[in-house]
Amino acid sequence: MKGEIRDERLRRILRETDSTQADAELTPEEIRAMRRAVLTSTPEPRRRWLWSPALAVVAMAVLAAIAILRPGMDSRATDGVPSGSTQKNPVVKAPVEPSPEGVSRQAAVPEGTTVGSPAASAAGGRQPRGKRILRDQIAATGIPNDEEPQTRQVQFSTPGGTRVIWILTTDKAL
Amino acid sequence: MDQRQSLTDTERLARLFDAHHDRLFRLARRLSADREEARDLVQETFLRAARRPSSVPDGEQSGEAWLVRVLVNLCRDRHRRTGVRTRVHDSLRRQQGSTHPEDAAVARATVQAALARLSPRRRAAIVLHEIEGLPAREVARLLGIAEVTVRWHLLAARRELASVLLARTAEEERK
Repeated sequence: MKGEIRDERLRRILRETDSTQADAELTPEEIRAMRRAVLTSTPEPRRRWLWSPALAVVAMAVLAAIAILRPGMDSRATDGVPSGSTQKNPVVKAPVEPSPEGVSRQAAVPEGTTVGSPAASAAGGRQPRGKRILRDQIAATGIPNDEEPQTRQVQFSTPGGTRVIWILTTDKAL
Repeated sequence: MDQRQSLTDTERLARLFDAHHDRLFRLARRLSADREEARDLVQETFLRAARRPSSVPDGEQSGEAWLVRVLVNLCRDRHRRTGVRTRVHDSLRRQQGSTHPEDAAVARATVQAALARLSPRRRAAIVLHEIEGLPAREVARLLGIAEVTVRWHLLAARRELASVLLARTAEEERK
């Protein structure tokens, strides 16, 4: 009984002196400011391109792997890789011997450096097209045989087996 | 999809704010020493909800209970950090010795000081039960504790408050 009276008195005191009687509510300005602060602090939406760092890492790994493997591929190419792969043969400086017929001589290609060298083509009894063109052009320009310029021969072979041979001369005739 | 989710979070937060800011402020005001602190507490409570919207449970009542718990926890953090008990006790002494006391203000300050001596959870329990008039079961739901624990907090809080407030009242009556 005594406890109940005490509790009742306490309740009355607490309610009579309730601090919210003095300032019970937030002002509209305070509410607006607080609402704005709260709603603008929501986290940014997650974007799909957040995956882009992962993609960038993968791309870097792939590029690094290519960069590491590339020298190995080049060295294999110089060692005589089958003509299935695309490769760019090094430019070969081929000193051309004077020929009595006025036809350009076959370029001296180091052994095993190129796929489909003119020597190999000639062995099959077929003259390379570039050589024919050069011969025709030399004939057309009328360059004497003994003044025949230095010739450079560049050969390419494509995966399809097509061989491209450029023969470049040092004079301005071409 | 993600943007839609974020919009949903914002809308949900807005609804939560509109539904509970008033009620939370009243509770915060009763749990804190002054109005500014109460406003900060309410804002911090909603900011917590805004930072981690997924942690706020769905449903009106569950959301409200979550907010109340966060508010009480924030009070507890502040209580620990700033040593409110000492400060308020000093403040009470100053109020008592004031040369311009208004009776109501003094009484309010006395009650505030007495409430400030309680631990935040105990204070929340007594405020929700005795001032807001919520039943112990509802207080337990809001605070996320067992009903028996609420009753124990209420009992202990009454005892502590009585030792301060009723003794003071009796003293005033003798004067």
